[in-house]
Amino acid sequence: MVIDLTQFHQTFFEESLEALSDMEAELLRLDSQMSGRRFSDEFKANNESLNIIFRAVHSIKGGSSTFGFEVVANFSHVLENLLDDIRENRCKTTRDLISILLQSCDCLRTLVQNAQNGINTLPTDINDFQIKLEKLRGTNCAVPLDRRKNIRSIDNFNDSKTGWNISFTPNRDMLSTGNDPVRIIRALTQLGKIRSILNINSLPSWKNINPEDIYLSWDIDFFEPIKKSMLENVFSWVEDDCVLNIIQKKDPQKSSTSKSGQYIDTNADTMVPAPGASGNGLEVQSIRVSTPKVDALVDLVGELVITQTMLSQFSEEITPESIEKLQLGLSLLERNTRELQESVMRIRMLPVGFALNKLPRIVRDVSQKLGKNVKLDISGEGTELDKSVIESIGDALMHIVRNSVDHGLESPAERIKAGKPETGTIHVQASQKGGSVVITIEDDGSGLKRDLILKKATEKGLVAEDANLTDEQIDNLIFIPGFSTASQVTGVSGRGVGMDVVRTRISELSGNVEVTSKPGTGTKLTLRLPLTLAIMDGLCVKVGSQVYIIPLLSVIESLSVPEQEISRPAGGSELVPFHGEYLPFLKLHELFKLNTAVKNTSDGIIIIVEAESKKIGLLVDEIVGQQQVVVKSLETHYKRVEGVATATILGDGEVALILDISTLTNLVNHKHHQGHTLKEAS
Amino acid sequence: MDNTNLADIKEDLDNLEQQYLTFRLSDQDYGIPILEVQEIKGWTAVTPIPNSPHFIKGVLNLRGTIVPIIDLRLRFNLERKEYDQFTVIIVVNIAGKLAGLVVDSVSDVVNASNEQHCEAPEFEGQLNRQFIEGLVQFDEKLLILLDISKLADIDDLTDVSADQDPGTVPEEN
Repeated sequence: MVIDLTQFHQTFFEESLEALSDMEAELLRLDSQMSGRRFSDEFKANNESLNIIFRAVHSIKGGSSTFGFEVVANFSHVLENLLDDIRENRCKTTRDLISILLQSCDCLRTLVQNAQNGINTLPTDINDFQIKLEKLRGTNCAVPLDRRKNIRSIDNFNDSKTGWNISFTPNRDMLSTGNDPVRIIRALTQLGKIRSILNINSLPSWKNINPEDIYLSWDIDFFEPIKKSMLENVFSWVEDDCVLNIIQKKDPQKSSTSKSGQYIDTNADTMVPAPGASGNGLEVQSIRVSTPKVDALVDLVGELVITQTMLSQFSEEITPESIEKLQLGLSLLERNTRELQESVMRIRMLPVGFALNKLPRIVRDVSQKLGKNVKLDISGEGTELDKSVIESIGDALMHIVRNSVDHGLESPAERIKAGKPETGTIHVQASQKGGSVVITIEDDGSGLKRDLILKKATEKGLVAEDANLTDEQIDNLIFIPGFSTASQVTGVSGRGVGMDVVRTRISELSGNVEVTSKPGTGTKLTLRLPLTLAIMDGLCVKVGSQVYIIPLLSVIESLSVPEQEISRPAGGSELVPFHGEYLPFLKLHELFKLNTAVKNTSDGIIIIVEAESKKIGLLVDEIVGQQQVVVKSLETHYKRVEGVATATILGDGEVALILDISTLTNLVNHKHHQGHTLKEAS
Repeated sequence: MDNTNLADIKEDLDNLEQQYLTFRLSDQDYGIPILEVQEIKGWTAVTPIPNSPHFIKGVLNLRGTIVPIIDLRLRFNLERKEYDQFTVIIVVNIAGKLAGLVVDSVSDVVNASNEQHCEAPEFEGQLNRQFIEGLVQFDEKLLILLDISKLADIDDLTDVSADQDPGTVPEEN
């Protein structure tokens, strides 16, 4: 029986990518200890960090050779050798070296992702890099590494006389566990030079042979003086299915053939992959849920069952006295349901750190490229957010941080001239505020250059020449599509696709983004995101006989405006005064063609809403209240409706539509509107 | 393969009876395959969807899922009728998509074999032939079997009936 190894491939890929994230994080930690020093300075790296990095590479190597991804195995092998040199102080640790290790981390990630996509060849650039890595070790073997013989010869660098004697006797039924001794011996050859002697003493006569059993054993001379744990690791898959004896060679000529005793575990360090504490940027289909969360859920379901039993008992004998008990039971049920709902939602919640852990790398690479000193300060990474939100904000965050380093922070010379510390700081903070999560990205740079922004916007025709804009309005120009102030296109930013993409992405998640800036002291971007997309806070409003839900995140204020305060400039639009501004407003009953007694603003209420930093008013009959609503898709059985985002079910079982505020604001702000009408849903 | 055998199988297939749910719409009986019916429920108020075709009455909460409701009278350009205690919503499931059809009343479940089908003749009327699967004579009455998948295809609601203006001759053929 052969076990199909491909079923473990997905796990291997996920674990490998996680191990690479760990490695990257650890490298960056090492690097940050060195910040401010010159890149060629040597320093003593923390052993613990090195071990984590080593383990990550080692577990990828082990896995990839088990599953036959040779390209990955070869590359990680070379990398592992280099790391071993660093660990044994045979190699200078410098920031330059860390840069190289970071690059190799990228290469390895590409290779793993290639393997995941079924590509098992070595791209030439990675091959070149691999050769460079080998040269770094001081060996002369600059040959393509996909020929395994060459790798083995590289291992022959050490002339130490001691190696290992391995006696390996597989149990008869080892093949039934899916393990193949040949593959293990092949894996040994990747660690170093071996000589194996096959023992066929226990081979039965041809008649009695069972083709699914193993009758062979091996005595292997291993010539490299490597760690015992590395050898043991090769056998870790089969340690329960064989008699294994690894003995250090006393004398290279004399080989010990002791076969006594089972596999004895010494206190050698075990090579287990680091627990998957940090995530990776890849879209994983599964969610890892911590056990306490599941336990809480199980407890709650238990309580729910008890309450349900209690209620059904009461219902059998309803007397005036039992009404009170019934009410008590109902309030219990309500509490259970609410807690259950919260726990279930919590399963989808992940720490926002999953999205933030890509930032240190970006900051490091960009600042190095631009010759700036930047310190990244992240706090609140434990704040939890819905998994789908986290997956979607990663790119936006990266973009913002990259912008801060590129445009926000000044060069060291400029900073000193401005009387600031040479190293710039970017502070990323995540926190929960009410039903939303707020992420702020703040730098202590020069602030937005308003004159430049305005000049650029005028040049591009985004604002009129004579427009008289407030500082806030100018700051918000950076969100307009096609706007980028970088005077020249660098590799870092300035391609004209910028903050508008950020804002679009955040709006899609029904969040918003704001910018505040003080010249000379810095810029602060604030992202406000809903905790979850499945449940939201909504303002229930009534128009005619219908109830509509406005997402509370979009609501700014509600006001009652007498009809005579409405301005009607030529062109048919109506404007409502709001804190010194005049805002256009939509009459929902006209837009949705509903019958209502409320036709003008004196009788109804205007709700000021904002989307993509455009404010408009919505005229409704009355506000019914504020409540949490469960978002239900309209598109499952119907289709997208213009002006309506999704739907929900109210307490009385009726369906209420949730308004799509960004469509509505765009409707009003559209330049060529002929009255405000929605696209007819045909 | 034996030819007579094949013929037998074909005959069996023709005799295969299918069950149809019949309902009334403006004094005419219609039938839809019962396997496509998920449930039948009484008329309850629905939430209108802004700017949707007039025969989409709105959406309904069906135990947590939101289902569009189509008024078949309006879909067929028949005259509007006040909903009463006989008005029912037939919830149909077409390839995983749910839709509710409002009809005057449901009548019965009938068995009809393929043999009993006759091709829909070309006739003048309000109903486009593409929605008709066939006709069946049943209890001295004519039963119109509908092709429900075309009727309730939400993505193709523009093709309503043969004539937009009831009473005129269909343009078809």
